[in-house]
Amino acid sequence: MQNNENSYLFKFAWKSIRRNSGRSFFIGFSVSLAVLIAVWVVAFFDGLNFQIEEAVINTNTGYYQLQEPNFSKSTESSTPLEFSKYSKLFNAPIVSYSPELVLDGNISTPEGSTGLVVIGIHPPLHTKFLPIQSKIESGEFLTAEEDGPIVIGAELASLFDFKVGDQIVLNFQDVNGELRSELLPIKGIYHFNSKSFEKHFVYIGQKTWQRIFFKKEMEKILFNRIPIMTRGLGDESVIRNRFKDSDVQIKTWKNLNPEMAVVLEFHDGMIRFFFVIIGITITMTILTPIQMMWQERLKELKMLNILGASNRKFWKIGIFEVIQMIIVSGLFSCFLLIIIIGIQSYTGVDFGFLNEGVSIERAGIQLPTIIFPQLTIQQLLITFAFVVFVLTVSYVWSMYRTLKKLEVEL
Amino acid sequence: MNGFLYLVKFSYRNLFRVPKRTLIMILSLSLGCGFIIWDLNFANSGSREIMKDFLSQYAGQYQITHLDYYNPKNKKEFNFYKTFSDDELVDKELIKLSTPRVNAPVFLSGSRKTLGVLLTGLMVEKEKRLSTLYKAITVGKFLDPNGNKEIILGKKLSQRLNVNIGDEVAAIGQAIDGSIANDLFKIVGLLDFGGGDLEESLAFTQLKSAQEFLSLPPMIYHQRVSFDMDSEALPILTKLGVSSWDELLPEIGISIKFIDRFTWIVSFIIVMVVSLGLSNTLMITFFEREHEFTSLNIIGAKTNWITASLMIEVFLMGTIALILGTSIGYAATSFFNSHPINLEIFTGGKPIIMGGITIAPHIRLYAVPKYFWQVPLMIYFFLTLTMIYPLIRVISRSKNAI
Amino acid sequence: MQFELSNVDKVYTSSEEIKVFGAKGVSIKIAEADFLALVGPSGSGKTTILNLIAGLIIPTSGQLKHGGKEITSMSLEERTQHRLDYMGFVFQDYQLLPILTAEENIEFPLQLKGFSKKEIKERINWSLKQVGLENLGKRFPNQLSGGQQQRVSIARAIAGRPQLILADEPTANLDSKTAQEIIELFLKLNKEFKLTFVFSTHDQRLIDQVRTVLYVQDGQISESRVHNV
Repeated sequence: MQNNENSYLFKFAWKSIRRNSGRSFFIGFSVSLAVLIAVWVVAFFDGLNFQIEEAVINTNTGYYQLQEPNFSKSTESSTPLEFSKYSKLFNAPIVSYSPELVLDGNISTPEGSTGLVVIGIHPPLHTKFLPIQSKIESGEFLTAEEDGPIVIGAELASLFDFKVGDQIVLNFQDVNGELRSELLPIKGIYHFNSKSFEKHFVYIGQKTWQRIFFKKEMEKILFNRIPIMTRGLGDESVIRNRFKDSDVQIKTWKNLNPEMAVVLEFHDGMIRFFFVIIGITITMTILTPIQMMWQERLKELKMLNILGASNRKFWKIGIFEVIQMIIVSGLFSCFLLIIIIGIQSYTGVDFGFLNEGVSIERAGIQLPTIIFPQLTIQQLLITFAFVVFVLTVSYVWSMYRTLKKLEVEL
Repeated sequence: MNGFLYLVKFSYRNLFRVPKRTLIMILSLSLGCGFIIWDLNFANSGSREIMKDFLSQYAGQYQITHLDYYNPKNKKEFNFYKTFSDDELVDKELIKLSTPRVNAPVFLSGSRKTLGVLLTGLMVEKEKRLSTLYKAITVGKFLDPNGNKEIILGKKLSQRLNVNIGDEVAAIGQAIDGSIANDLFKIVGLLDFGGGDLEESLAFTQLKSAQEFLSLPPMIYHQRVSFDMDSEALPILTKLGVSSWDELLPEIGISIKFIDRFTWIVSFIIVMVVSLGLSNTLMITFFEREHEFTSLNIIGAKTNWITASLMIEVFLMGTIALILGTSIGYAATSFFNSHPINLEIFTGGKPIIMGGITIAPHIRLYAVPKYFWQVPLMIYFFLTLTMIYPLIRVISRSKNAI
Repeated sequence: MQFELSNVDKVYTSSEEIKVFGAKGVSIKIAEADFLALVGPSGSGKTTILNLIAGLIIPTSGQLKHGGKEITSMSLEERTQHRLDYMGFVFQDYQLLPILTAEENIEFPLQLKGFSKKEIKERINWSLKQVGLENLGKRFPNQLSGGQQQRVSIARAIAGRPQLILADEPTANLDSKTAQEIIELFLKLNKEFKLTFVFSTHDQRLIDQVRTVLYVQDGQISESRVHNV
């Protein structure tokens, strides 16, 4: 019997919505549109943040870096650790990693001079970590066996007019603190990431690095740091736990690039603030139409009450109406979101006009002009939750006011 | 005129038909307006204050240099050999308002490391008066104006070089005459820029020490840096180059513009959302009076008259709301002028770093006059759009009823 | 000036293509100072005929003339102007504007007509006096009784000294005592100022007081009676 009554009231609620179909559509549409806009902005910033984060981790930074303690304190390169002692720890959620030796050097030519970060890599591991091998625009990338050649960035090559096959004079301080120079042939020129990255990051093999810094090869893979890629910063606790008994220091990309970390935090903060404002605005603006819709029914409710329908029944009808409006609005919003963001996450949105068409670098990172909004399950849930909140608050408040008035009139 | 005044009076009276509903509509509009004005002032003040703080620490509002000092295509590159003297600067007022600097890319060597940095020679007393660089010293002290061969480094740089207060670092570079320049400098202070990039790449010494190191004669400089933050206009010089901060730091300038433009987009969105609800409410309000419109038409009021009365009613409501809204916007802005906002609420407490420097997070808001007419104009525009559909629907329904 | 309906038909076609005659072959002549009632049961076509006289609806065939001038060929706006210039209206449910006082409700058509301030004030005072509400001009409709509201409605109708006053069921919402007062008011205005009244009614008290009664059945004038009142 109860089920029959609920089913009847549910149908009655639907008829009430359809009776004033224009107005109901308008209310539902207003809510959907507001929610759509708000969530699209979230998706846009999610996409922007993702792209910024990708750009950062691809500056040979990784999501995390395991750093040898002296290197961590003062970028001291002379006390590297042996990679073999840690190699067993590099399984899931670690996706890729690259044990690296790092040296501050510089080159000096008649055209000028510039500081360099000379990274000694084990190519088979490094190519899984960073796709520089596939970004070589002339020459080739390094292989594991060779000793001697260097791979430089296109910006550096352009500044000093270097070509594949040229020799560069690398100046540096060796393990004893002596200033030394080394002639290294250019094997390849890469074009990847930002101009700042291309200007400062050069790659040599581990053998070459050990030979020029230690004056001898160690016949093993050493590291000052190991940048690693995982699924994201959500794996931090797993990583820290895994390496807690070792003597390496763990830093996230946010520790390594605090300026861009703050940019992302700022975006997140702005979005939360924006969402709250939109939520309040839309609730206030649809409250009146919903209230008016309910107040128009006062006469009708009075008549139904005379026939025997109690306040409880009216509340049920109202709740059923809310549920139906939520379903329709929520589904409509989600549907539009999937279509719009689905397309834009593929084509991207050109926001070059916000940057005046100029591609710019900040803190060594190339900021994107074409942004790919990201559609996530979380956003769809937020959409739905938003719709639920706005409609429930408006309907419940309007019902309460109307039924209170009805009580007075009866 | 009499007829028009009566029309306005009639429209005004209609605002009191359902006072609560009119009040809610006015409140929605005025709160929306007030918030947008506050938000724009916040973005503008935030940008201004951040830029002031950022620029006053190091970069300055604008720089005077030799015409060929900066690469016009890329102002991150400079020609070390292009210097100028104060004799070329005719306007002595500019000399008063700016501080001279010399710059040289050098290699600094600590105990076990050599790193490339930009060594900048400062006129210490003037620098202390005009910029806030000295406030970034957290260990040791700022340069002594009468001292010689003193150096202050970024904290990160000192860590990398493994040096500290009292240690000496060797600087090697190229002098202006092409010879090798080298000297020893004593570290007297460490700069803390919050961990930003500039901590690794900057070092400062006395102007005289730098000129001696580079074999530069006195009164010959690479730059004159002005910290006159309130001046919008750049000086026009024929013999020398003038570069504003946004030419030198385009990424910062554009990041600021991004926030400004994004704020306008948010404002647009809020007005659209408010307009949707308002349109809905207006439609219901107008439909309620359909029967009355028919009666008015029977008595002799033409469609134009009825349309005009509705439009005036909406504009009157809008005007009241916008007067209230601009007052709310002004009041809110004034409140946050005396109670600065801490931007770190947006970053979860983390310090804000921009261009390698930590920015003071407390922002005082200032009212920008143009927003107090631009925002109401935008809202009036949307209000007009908002009432078109309800008007058309109700007028055509009334005509059909007749 | 005379109002005349000549052989007027008004046909409504439903969605199922069924034709309904709101008025059929109606011919009426309304002269100055006429006191005329259209009488008939609900749905007989009284209101349709009243609307045709007012120019609110256009006949399917036939003519409406006023002083020899053809009304049926006028545009919507012209007919609205015509009503403003020559007619007054009294409604069953008074149709006063709730946002205006009694005086201001009377003022409304006068403003549309473009009278000066002084003239408007004089006419308002005159109208209120005629309906016996001199002291209640500043009250809003919700502060007046039903009878008082209907008096205000009548004052509004006569303020412009129209040539014709149309009243659709003017006493339907009033109690018998008030209804009688209103009928007497109509009579007084008709006798004293020679105002022409056409009523649509089935109130017998009013029917008994009018000079001409037109009985309406199925959109047609079935009978016409003249009383010696």
